[in-house]
Amino acid sequence: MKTLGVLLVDDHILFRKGVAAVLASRPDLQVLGEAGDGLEAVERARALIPDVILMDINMPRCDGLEAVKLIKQEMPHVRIIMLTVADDDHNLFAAIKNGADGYLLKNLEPTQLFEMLAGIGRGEAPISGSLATKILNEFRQPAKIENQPAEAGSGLTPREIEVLEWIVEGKTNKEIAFALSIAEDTVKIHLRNILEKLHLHNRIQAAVYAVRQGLVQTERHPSSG
Amino acid sequence: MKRVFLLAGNPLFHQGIQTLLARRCDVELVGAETDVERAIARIRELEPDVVILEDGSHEGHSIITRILATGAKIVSLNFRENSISIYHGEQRTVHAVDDLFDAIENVEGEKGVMERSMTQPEN
Repeated sequence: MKTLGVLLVDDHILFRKGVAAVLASRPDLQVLGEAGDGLEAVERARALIPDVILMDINMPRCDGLEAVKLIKQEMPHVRIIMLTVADDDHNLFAAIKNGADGYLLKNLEPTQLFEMLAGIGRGEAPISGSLATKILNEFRQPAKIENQPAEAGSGLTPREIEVLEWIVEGKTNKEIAFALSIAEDTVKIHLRNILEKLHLHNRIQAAVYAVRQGLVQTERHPSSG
Repeated sequence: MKRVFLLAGNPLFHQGIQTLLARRCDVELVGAETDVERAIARIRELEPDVVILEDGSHEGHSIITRILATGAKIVSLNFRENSISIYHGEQRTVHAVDDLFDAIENVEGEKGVMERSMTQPEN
């Protein structure tokens, strides 16, 4: 069983130490280290190279939104999940734009946190339910074109477009592999190629971008359960 | 050994503090609740020395008064503000987990708390 190495970043010591203690009880998780602000998070991430970072937003010296951007620039394969009390739209979309791979509110149950972390290992994007609704509502807004990559929508193969359609519908890599009758590793390769071609960081960004740019048709596939 | 009861509404914070307390041999966690009314009933039954209370998980002054009336002392934690309040003694900023255990260990005797609650404004 692969152990997920976790870096905890939060300036609230009791909360951070408490989460560390809870995660330490899990055999599939290992707390590699902790940080109390965004700059320390960058330093610890360089030293520890975690699989996952749980990152608060409001911190002194350097907040979590900036730290996500800095870490993703150096270590794009490190998954960063925001774990915060802030559920406002600004922080949510700023975090996604900066490359966050998930966004969770601190009022979640410990078992939900464990499930979300397990999902990261499967390529899923952990998002608290109420925030997923905000993202969907954002989908329904008229497209606001901001900072578009130079090659908007170009270069994707038909198969990559197919994979992107399933991503827009919120399917996991495993579900996409089943739907397309291909290996899960092949799905991951397609996703990596999609992100590289579109100059994006994660599947959430890819989904938002694809709908806004009209690269895929929404609700194309009948419910597959 | 201090007998401690935990009342915290945030589930992740609740389990985190519970796990930290379980590691200490000088603290006995006699009960833990997320619901205020269940907590009050159990506090009256269990008579802990100290109640650890998550700031914001209660209806402010009324719950503090009700807990103090049981004879237990209160150490209130505000994880958003990174602070510990000891009713009605002092307020500290948390620099380390040991700050929590120092607060539990050093809450004042019952007489002192009762006198202070009569004369000092609440934190």
